Amino acid sequence: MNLVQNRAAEFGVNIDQTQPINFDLGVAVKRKNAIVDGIIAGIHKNIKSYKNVDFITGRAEFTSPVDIQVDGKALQADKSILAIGSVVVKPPIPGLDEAGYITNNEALHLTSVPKSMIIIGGGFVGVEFAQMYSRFGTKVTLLGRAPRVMRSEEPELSEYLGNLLVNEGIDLHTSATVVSAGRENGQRFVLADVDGKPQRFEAEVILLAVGRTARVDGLGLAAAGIDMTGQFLTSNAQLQTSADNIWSLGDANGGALFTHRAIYDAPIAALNAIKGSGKAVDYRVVPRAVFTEPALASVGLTERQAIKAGHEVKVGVEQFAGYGRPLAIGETEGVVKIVVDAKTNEILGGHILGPHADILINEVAIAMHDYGKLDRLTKTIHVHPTLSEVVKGAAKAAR
Amino acid sequence: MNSSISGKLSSAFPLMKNYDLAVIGAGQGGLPAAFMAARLGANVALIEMHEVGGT
Repeated sequence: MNLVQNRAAEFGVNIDQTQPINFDLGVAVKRKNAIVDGIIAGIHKNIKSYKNVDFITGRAEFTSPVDIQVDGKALQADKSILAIGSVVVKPPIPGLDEAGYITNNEALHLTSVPKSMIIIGGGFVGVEFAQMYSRFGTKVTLLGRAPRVMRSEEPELSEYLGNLLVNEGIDLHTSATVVSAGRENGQRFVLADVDGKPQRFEAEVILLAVGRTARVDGLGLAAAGIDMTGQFLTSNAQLQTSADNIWSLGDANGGALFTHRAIYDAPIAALNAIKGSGKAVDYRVVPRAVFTEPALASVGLTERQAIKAGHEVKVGVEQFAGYGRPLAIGETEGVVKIVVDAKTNEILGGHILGPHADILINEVAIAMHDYGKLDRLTKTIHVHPTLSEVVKGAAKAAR
Repeated sequence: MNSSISGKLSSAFPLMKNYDLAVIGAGQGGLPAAFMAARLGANVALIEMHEVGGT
C-alpha cells in the first residue's frame, strides 16, 4: 500500500482515482537516466582519484601494435587491454534497413510506449524486452528461431518461461525464421517462416535481438595484428590476443556475454599485461540470468550437457509453489533443478526459474566454485521463510 | 626521441605521450582493469568513445 500510494508516481505509474491507472514511460526513462547519471558521475570521480590514469574521450584506432590515434591525436602504449564490448550484429534480412529497426540500446530510451512491437530473437535480450514492453502495454510479437526461447538453458525451464510469456499475452512464435522485412502504410512488417509455414507480422516497431559481435569498427585490428575468430576476437586463456602486447576482456572475446564476466576478466587481464602473471581464466562457474519475472538463472551444466560430458547424473527438482515465502509474496511460479554427479555428489549445475532466481543462483555458484558437493546445500541451515529454502529443497531431492 | 628534434616537432604536432598501458573502453570491464593496472604502478591511458560505465 505504501509502495503503491507513495512511490508509484516515481516509476511513472499514475494513480488518480478519477482516471484509469496509466503509465508514463517518459517518467520511468527519466528516472532510469537519473540513476545512470549518478553512477557515471561516481565513475568519473573514481577515475580522477587515480593520478596515473589519463582519461581520454574519443575513438581509438591502432596504427601499429603500440601506436594509437584518438580522434587524430597520437599516443603510444607499450601494452593495451581491449574492453570494447559487443554490438548487435545485423543479420542479412532483406528489407530490414528500409523497414528500420531498433536494438536494446534504443529500446531503453523510448519515451512513449509503442502500440505494437515485433522482437526478432528469443534469447536473453529478446525475452527481457518482450516481457517489459508487453507489461508496459505494447502488443508484442516474439519471433525465435529455436524451438523454444532461451534455447541453451535447461529445456524444462525455458519451456516453462515460454509458456508464462504466452500466458501474459505475448504472441510467441518459435521455430520462426525471418525471411524479409519492410514498411507499408506507416507500419513495419516481417515475413517469417514459422514451422515451415509463411506468416506475416505487422507492428509499429521492430526490435532486433539476434546476436552480437565484438565492437571492432574503426579499431584498426589489422594494424595492431589482432585476429578474429568468427564474430569475436581471438584470445587465449590468459586473455591475450594474437598481438602479444594486447589483451582483451569481456564480450569482445565471445562466450558468456555478461557484464559480470567482464568484471571477472578485468584483474586477470591487468595482472597478465602489467606483471606478466600468466593467469588463466576459469569459466567453469559463470552464472547466467535473464531478468524476466520470474527470472531464469543458471550456472554450470544442464542435465543433458552433464550426461554428454560423461557424468552419471542425478537431479533434484523442486517447485516454488510448495514453500511458505513464495506463497506469502504471491509468486509461486517456478522450479529449481540441481544437477549432480551421482558417483561423487559434486554439484554440476543449478537451474532456477522463479522469483529472484538471479540472486538465488549465487548460492549454487558459491557451492560449485571449488567443486563443492551436494551436502553444501543440503546440510547448511537456511533461514525460514526464504526463497532460498527451495534451492535447498531441490538439493535434498537429488539425494 | 632526440630532444632538439622533439622541440621542433612539438610546435608542429601535438606531443606524443607514451603510456605503459592503454585500456580501450571504460565500461564495467575496462574500468577495473585500468584501476588495477594503475595500482600496479602503470601509467594508464583510459580511452572511451561514448560514456563511461558501459551499456
